[in-house]
Order: sequence, then structure tokens, then C-alpha cells
Amino acid sequence: MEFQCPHCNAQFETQRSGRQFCPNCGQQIDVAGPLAGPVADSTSTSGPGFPSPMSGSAPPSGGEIPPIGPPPPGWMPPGGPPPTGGPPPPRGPSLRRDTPWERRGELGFLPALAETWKQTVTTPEQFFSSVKPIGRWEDAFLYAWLLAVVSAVAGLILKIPFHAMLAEQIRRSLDVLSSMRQVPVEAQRYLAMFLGVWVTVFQIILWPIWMFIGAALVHLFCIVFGCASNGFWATFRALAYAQAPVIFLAFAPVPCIGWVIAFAGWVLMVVLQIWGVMRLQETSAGKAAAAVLATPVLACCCGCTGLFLLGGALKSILTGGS
Amino acid sequence: MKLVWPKANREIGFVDALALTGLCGLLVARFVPVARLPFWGCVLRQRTGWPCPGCGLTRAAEGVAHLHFAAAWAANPLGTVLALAFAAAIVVSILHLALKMPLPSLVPTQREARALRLSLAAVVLINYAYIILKAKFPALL
Repeated sequence: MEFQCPHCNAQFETQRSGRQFCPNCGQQIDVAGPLAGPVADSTSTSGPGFPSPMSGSAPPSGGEIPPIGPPPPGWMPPGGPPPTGGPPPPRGPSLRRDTPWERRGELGFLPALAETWKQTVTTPEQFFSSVKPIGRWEDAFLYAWLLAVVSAVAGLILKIPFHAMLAEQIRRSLDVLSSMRQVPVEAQRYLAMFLGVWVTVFQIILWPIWMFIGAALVHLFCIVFGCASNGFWATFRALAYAQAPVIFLAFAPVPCIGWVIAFAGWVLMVVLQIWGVMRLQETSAGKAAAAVLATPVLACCCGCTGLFLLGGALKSILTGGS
Repeated sequence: MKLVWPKANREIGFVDALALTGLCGLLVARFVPVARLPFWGCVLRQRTGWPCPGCGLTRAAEGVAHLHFAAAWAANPLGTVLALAFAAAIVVSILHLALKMPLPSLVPTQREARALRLSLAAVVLINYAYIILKAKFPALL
């Protein structure tokens, strides 16, 4: 049955009545039985209705969410532990709180950014289990964009010592492309523009658009696979916080090991995206993986062709363009 | 199936993100010669002659973007429907953001959701069968 937490107004689904914890704010709540209906004071002002996968509306920002931090060691809820009996609560934590980045006013800008990055990369299970599914999307968006900008600028700086070599590689790659098929002049111009320095500018400017497009596609597949119970912004926040390894993509221009680091970072990012969707949508790893990987799998033709092209270009470069 | 109409609002949501996706996709399909790029194409089809389920999506998007609906339908019927759905999302999003048009929330029951998923899977299979017939056995169509 659907229930609305009287403390944070979050809607969630529960399989049993009785005393339990809100999966969003961690406060102890008393869920009335289905015949009695939900708690009167909370549902009577429930507003526009249940957030569904199609609505994606942000939570109310009326200052009703009490400031909640991590519990001290040995902390127990006031009424004791939740009663046993009945099925265990669905996957996910019993306590969710603001991320360090969302508490940057309290922690400081750079420490909050660094701490969030560290938690995301080193302890993803604890981190994503503690992220609120229906928190402010703007915070997660800003976090992801900042990291993307840092990565893009760092990548640009790292390109400087290898500028001549990279320019030669781009020229050879374009030659390979042109030899594979008759490439229109305008397409060559687009490719040269994207492969050159302008890629950094495009990366920074287009990143927000790409974030929304990526989240929309992943959430579309979340709906298809039945793992979109917490709405669009939960998917968006999961993907945004999973952008932490984007920093590693800055090493791509470094010869020999650069692409290995960048590829490892990309793989880690995909893993974190699956992890994030799993925890924020409170679903299984299989469904989360299916939702995250569906878009690249659907685009398998492009991917296969891209790999084929990459292999050809690599072979051409290694054999001196023969 | 539960249909909930919220109050008039301009809150950004999933439909707006879909609209942005559709807008970018249709603009690219309209103005960038994607199909002529050297790395574009289906490797499976090139190597084996058999199409993949996504074959024709680019041409379907280009057809819709150029308002050549018959060509789009011939390339990939489901892709055409999807492209038109994205176009509809753009219109709905504009109305939502400009005129505060409320976007309804549709909450199916578990049984209905399962039925919808099965229907979607069936539609994808039928669409793939059509693409295979068109590519390998055009005389049957």
C-alpha cells in the first residue's frame, strides 16, 4: 500500500502496517492498516497526488524536512527497534540524509565536493544507500556539472604537452574515416571541430543537456523494466552523483596509459550508475543494470561500428598509416 | 489504472526531459547528415545481411524530421511511432512550461503494468519481424 510520511511527506510503498521507518528520512512512523487508511494529518494535505514515474515532480520545499544527520553510535529509535514479523522492508537503507555536497553550506564548498567525490568512489554502497531519492535535483546537477568542468579543463591542460602528437592522430583518424567512405565536406568539418580543442567547450556547454537526455533515456527504461517507483528525479540524482569518475576521463590524452585510466573511469562510472539506480529506485541489481545498459545495448550497431572503426584506426596508426 | 491531475504548474519533470531528448534528436536528424557519416551503419547487417532490431531507426528519425512519414514508416514503424511520440512530448512540454498545463500522473496497477510490458515486448518483436521481412523477404510484403 502507498503511504505518506508525516515527517518528510515522501510517498512510499510498504507491504505491511505497523511501526516502521520512513525509507526517505529515517523517522519512525506508524502505518495504519489498509482499512483504517493512512495517517490522517499527512494524507489530508497530500497535494497533487502520488508521484509516479510519469510525473517526476520535485518534492515540496516548504521547510518541512527536519535537519537530520547520521545517527550517533549505538543510536536506537525512541520506540525501540521496529517490530519483527512481517516481511523485511524493501531493499535500501533505514536512514537517508543529505549528501555532503547538499550540506556544503555547513561543510564548506570544496570539502563538501571532495567528501562527496570520495564517498561516491570509495564507499558507493554506503553513499547511495544514504542519498535521498527525492532530494533537490539542482544540487546533484550542479555537482555533476562541476566535476565535468574540472575534468574538461584538466583534460585540456593535459593535452598541451601532447598537442602535436594528438593533432597528428586526429589527422590520421580523419584520413582513415575518409578512406572508409566518401565523407561529405561538412561532415569532415564537424568531425575536425569535435576532435579538436573545441571538444572541451562543447563538453562544458552541452554537458547539462546530455545529463537530462541520459537521465530521460535511463528512466524510460526504468519504467519499462518496472523499477521507477521513486520517480524521475531519483534516477537523475543517481546518475548525477555517479558522475564522480568523470575526473579520470581527463587522463585520456596521456600517451600509453591515458586511455586505460579513462576506460577504467568510464567502466566505474557505469557501475556507479547501476549502483545508484539500484539504491535510489530501491530495485534489484538486474533491473538497474538493464535500465542503465539498455540505451548502449540498443545502440549496439553504433557501438560495434565504433569499435570496428577504432580498431581500424588503431591498426592504421600502429602500422604507420598503411 | 489511476489518473491523477495535479494543479497547474511549471515544474520540470520527466516529460520535459523526454522533450529535450526528442528536440535534440530531431534537430540532429533534420540538419546533420548522420546516415552519411563513415562510422554510421549496422555492422550486423553489413556482415551477415540480417538486420538488427534497431535497423532503420536513423532513417525513421530523419523521415519524421523531414516530414516524410511514409519513408519513415517503411524504414522502421516502431521507430516512427517513437519519433512522433518524442515530437508530441515537445509540444506537451512547451504547453506545460509556457502555459502551466498540468501533466497527469498515470499509475497502473501491477497487473496492468505487467500487461503493458508484455504488449511492449510483443510490439518490439512484431516490428523486428517486419524489418526482417522487409530486408530479407520483401516479396512476402
